[in-house]
Amino acid sequence: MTSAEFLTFYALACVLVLALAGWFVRNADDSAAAGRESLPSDFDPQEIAFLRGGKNELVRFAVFDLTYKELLQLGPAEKRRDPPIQRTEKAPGTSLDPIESIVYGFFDQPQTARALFASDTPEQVEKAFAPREERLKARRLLTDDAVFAAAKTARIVAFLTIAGLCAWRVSYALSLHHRNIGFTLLIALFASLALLFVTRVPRLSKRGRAYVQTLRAALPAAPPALPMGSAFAPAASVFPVVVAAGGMALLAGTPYAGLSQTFRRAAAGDSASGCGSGGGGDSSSSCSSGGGCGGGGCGGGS
Amino acid sequence: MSLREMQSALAAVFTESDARERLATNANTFARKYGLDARDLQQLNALSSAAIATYVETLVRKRRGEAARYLPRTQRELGRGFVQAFDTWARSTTTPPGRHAALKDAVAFCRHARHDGTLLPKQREAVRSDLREAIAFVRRTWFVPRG
Amino acid sequence: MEAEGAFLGAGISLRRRHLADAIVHPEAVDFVEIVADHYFAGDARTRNELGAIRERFTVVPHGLDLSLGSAEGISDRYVRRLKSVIEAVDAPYWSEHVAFTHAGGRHIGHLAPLPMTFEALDVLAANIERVRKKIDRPLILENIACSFDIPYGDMDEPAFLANLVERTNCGLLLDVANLYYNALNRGLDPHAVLAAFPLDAVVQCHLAGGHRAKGEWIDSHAFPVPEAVWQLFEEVVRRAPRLRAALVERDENLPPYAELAAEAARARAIMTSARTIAMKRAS
Repeated sequence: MTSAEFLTFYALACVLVLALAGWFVRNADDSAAAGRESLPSDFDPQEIAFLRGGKNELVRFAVFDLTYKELLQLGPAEKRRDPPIQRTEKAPGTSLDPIESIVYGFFDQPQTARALFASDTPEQVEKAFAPREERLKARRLLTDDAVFAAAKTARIVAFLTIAGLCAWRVSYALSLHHRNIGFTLLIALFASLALLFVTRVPRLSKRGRAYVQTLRAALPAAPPALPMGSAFAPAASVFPVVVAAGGMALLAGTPYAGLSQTFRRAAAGDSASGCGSGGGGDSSSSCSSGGGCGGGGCGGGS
Repeated sequence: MSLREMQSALAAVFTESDARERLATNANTFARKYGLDARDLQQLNALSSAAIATYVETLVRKRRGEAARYLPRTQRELGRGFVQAFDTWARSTTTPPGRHAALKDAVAFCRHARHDGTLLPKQREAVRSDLREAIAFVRRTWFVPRG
Repeated sequence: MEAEGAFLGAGISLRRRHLADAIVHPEAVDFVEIVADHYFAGDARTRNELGAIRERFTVVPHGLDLSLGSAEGISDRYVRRLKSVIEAVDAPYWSEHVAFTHAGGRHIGHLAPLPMTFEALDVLAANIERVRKKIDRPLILENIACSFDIPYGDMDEPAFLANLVERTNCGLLLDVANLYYNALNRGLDPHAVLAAFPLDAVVQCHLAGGHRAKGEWIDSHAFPVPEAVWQLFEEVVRRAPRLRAALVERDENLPPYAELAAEAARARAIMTSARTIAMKRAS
């Protein structure tokens, strides 16, 4: 086999391995077989926000909800770019749930959204949400651990195949005192990076992604942003559910537009410091974002 | 006159201001165009012009209601002026044919209104924004309107 | 007669602006009517939306543009799209208008009245037969609002509809507001027109409010149902043995969902009361 022939063979082999690995990971998620998740009789907006964007979206939603309940407000933004979020005079009483208590507790002093996401509040919120996250897993809306394990296996096997072929070729070339191994190494490097991409596991299962898409279709904000009090705005009790399903971007044009902007600025600031804002998908980092779930599937890649 | 010819003539009267004018001012030309005889023409003329005008206004209102689904920002920025602007434009235009008539109407209205010198810059921007979204929707549905 | 069946209750014509409210508070209405034409896109979002509505409610699709009265015939493409929506929501029946919307290559964009002639009856019957070959769910037919009649008809509207029911075996969707405003615009007594109407065939009712402009009553669906229409509806309920459902329509000046639901509740109360009396009499 000439060098050119081997490179062609190797490139094709890598494409095949990547395709098989991607197929294997996607097929490991059999949650769709459980059927479509029914709409709940009582919507839990926090659950919806978490499904859409993980812990950071849950934090964003909690801030909005507390503002909607008039317990928090956006302070003046005079010379500072980020206006602080602060408590109002209204006493919360005993109406706060654990998530709201954590977020409300953070604002004992006025703080910016950026400070909120830089703190350990998202982690505390995630911990408080853990029992409900387990229930979401039981409903097969979040990706099973078995899928992550399958992805790991696929990654190892595929990498060994790619690296093995590469090592064989390199050692063979070196044994003949040839130095033309650059393209082989380059293909191996590209294939390894592509392997990480094709074996990504989304936070939401197939069933979870379908459920979120149904929620977004079923709970639309009538176009494009509804000033509260307009005749066709959702009823006051429904609005938080709509925001949970559609994301903070829906607040544009409402009295809560400032929140959407401050979250977006916080996300942009975090991006500049090397933290991606994304579209509110998977949130394993502490970055915040103003947007909702991306159109291509919620909860990260698919 | 068969039902088919009657419906064809009625459709023209309902949707085209030119046809209404021709029926009122030059009935013979109208009759020739739609293959109507004297009795048919008498029958059409028995429709009161007020009744036809009311029907046309209902049609304009319906077109506005349907197109408004694609014009949220324009509606918000123009307020009550939206009704007048749309209705004035719709009376001088015909209902677009085929699927997505409301979308075609929305796009055509935006294309007309974005050059309307009486609108404020903010209002024109709203029109342009709705036009962009409507065209994006058009592209998503693999559908290209004329005009 | 087709479309006979279990009592559906009181509903609303669901518009997207009320969708979130309706999905979160489905208990406020018994069923919803959707405009089938709004769901023809067939994209993922539309499918998801239809699926969610179907999950929450019994859904009756309402066609706007089939043009059953067109002498040129009906569009097979339109029928296919209609069928896909009807099947997606597993509708107990669906409805269309006794009207035409296409002629001579023109799309009118609104329901146009048919001449009340035997020829028009032939056209309607032929088109309905053609639709039935493609869509197996029962069809009910609605009387339209129009401030004038096409001259030189062979019969009046009640007789025309009675003939249509006899020929096609379709049920009727009586738009009480249309009947009311049509009667006023012709200087007739609405109760007298109702008395002549083939109420035995009425399966569903539409209720809406219009307004008066330039001396004509317009069924604009822009206002609450007026008392006069409620009174007519009470009469219909008493005299229409096959009535399964009634719904409140609103297309302009959309009020909050709760207001529409309250009107639907009034319709439900009227129907429930009449049914209770009828059952007592029967026992």
